[in-house]
Amino acid sequence: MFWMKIIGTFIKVLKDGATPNQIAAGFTLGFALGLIPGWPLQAIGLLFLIVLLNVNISMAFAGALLAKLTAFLLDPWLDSLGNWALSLESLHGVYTTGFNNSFLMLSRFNNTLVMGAMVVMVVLFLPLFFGLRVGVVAFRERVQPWMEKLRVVQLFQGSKFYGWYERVSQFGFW
Amino acid sequence: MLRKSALIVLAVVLLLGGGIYWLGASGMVEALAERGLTRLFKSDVRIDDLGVSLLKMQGDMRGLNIARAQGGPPVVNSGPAIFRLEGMPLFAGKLVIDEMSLKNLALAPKGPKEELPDPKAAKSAPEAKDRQDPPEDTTKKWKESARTLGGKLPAFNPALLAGETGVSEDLLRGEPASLKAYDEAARIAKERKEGFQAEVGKARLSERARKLKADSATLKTVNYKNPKEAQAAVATLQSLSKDLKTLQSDAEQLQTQGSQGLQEAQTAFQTAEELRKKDLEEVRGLIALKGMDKKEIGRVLFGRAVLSRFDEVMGYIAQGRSVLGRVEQKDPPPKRGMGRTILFPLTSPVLPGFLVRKAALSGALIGETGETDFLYDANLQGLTTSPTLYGKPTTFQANLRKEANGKAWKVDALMDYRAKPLDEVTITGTGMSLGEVKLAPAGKSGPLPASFRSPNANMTMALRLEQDVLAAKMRLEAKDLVFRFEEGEKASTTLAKELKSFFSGIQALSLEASLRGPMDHLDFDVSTDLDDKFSQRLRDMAGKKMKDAQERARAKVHAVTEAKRAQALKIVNEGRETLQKGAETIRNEIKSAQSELSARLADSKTSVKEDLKQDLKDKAKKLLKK
Repeated sequence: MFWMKIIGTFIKVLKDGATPNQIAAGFTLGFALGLIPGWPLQAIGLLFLIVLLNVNISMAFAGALLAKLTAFLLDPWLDSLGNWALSLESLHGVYTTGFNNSFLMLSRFNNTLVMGAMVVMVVLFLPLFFGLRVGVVAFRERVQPWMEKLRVVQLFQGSKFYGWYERVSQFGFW
Repeated sequence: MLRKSALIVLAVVLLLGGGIYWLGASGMVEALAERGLTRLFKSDVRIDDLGVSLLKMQGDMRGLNIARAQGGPPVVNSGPAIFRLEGMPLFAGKLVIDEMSLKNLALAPKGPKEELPDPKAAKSAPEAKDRQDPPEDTTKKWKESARTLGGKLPAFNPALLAGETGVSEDLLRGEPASLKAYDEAARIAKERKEGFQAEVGKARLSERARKLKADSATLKTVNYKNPKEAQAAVATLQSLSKDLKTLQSDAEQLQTQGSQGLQEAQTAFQTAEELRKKDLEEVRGLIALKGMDKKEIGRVLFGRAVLSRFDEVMGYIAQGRSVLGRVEQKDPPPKRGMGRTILFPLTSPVLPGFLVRKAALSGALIGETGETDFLYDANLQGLTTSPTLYGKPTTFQANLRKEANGKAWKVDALMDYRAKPLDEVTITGTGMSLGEVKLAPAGKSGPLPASFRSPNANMTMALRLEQDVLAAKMRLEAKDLVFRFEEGEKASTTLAKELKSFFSGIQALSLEASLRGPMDHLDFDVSTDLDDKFSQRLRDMAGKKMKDAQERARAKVHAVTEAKRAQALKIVNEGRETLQKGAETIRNEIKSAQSELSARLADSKTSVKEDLKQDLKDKAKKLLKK
């Protein structure tokens, strides 16, 4: 039921729950949060941004979940990328400054996985955000009408189970 | 709805987290302090109460309790301690205290009293193996050296006198080395004589000579005109000549053997004679008593007391080294799958995990019996778990005083364990009380039956230990000396009586001591203003006694060795006579046989000549007749 609720919420959000910007920003921030291993300083900052900005929290949760699930597969690649980034001579001075600052060291930037994730997010943040926004708009304009015409969906929406779910969900038990 | 819920949850988490952090800052600092102090002192450290204000970065602490690793009274702080923190290192889990004021800190630096071990006791005592020495090799080497730094004690019993003068103990016990040598010479002479006699008997030289003579005599009646008889006689003569040569050869060989044996016995006797001379020279060595040299007096009388003071300071240094001078631990390698940690150059000094930059301490020094010994005020700088990271040595200055009588100590110490461990300690004491200082040579436990006290003494000690190389000096000025002399067996010796007589009038003492060199080759020197006087006194006293002892020893050596010498000489001479007589007898008998044989040979030659002459005459006559 929990997963059904998640999927339901997800679809609902995609349909008309939030603006495309909120959805895209929530997912992107969540994905960034999920990609960074552990809870370094920047992860806490991202969490603050998700809560404080008017982004969609469900999508942030979904993005974080997706990132966590895929991170295991991406780890070797992130490690290499982080190592490459930390080896850049041009940034050596910046890293050295950070390395000598106890507060900045809370970001664990000198860890290859953390740095790899940061690089990925710095590079992918805007493309991901705009891509998702375009995707949401496209979903609402093209996929949603098509889906609603689908026989399977119509049968599902007309079923007793869906009706019961609609009634129960109004009480807000989950 | 969801946003509201999330915001509420986050607010609660932040409030709780912040509150926990705010409240937990004290706990965190307390944990860091306990961990740092535990690493430093290698023993349990407990802090009863610690509060930190993160806004002011200040804190206060009560109830610091540091247990002693080796047992004994703990270091206890019952008073308040106020400190100022550095904030940034806390992010890295480090505790850096800029300044600290710690009052009512009860220190018990001495712990259980440990005497310098006596060398013999240290070897025999089973618990010596189990004794827990501080981990540093330096301490062990120091203990070993302290055992062997002894000054030599002049005394009048054979064993000590032997050690003092180089005269062998055997000699003084009436067993001079020459005694055994004479025995050896006598044994060799006897063995060789008996061996010679046995060989002579075995070779039957006399019998063979007599037989040769008799056989030669039988040829007197030979008729050389009879060719057969003459031929047989010639053959016999040739055989006898051969026997004679063999006999002469055997006799010569035996004589050579006998001479060699005799030579061996004589050489052994000569060795014994030389040893006897040496024994007598050793006895003469009694006159020059090295232990009576004034350079030795200080070490003999005050050596142990001085070393005990050095030992005490060395104990503190060992504690310091075991606490502060350890090898620093490296961070464990990162776990697998957690990425790699890349290190960058450090542009600012890295702070150690625990550091007290400056601490003002005050309190009481607890004595061995548990009561307050001294009150003190001290300053400590650079107390840290990692001197290498901090980059500065730890320094300590303390003023100690006894309020009752105004006696005071001043201590300055530097402990630099960044590379090679270096310790420097200077201690100055004024108006201090010297309690029961036993007179005893260094490394030995009180064979002298006396001790002294001084209620008013000044002492300065400067000690520098770099790795294992020690340079230490001590100066002591003691006034109002009160000597105490033991009663009993020890006190009845000549030296004890002389000590009593000498020190009874002494009221002041000035002493200087130095101890320098690598730990296994320490050069220890103690000199006092009494050395000259005491040395002279001992010489005066010992002069006659020593001469008497020398005479007695010489007489003893003479008496003991003379009998043996005579005995050995007699046996050697007997051997010589036996050899000479035996050889002479054999020589005579062989000579007699040789004469007889020569006579027979001459007879045979004459007869043969006459026979030939007669034969020629007869032949000539026959020819003339024809």
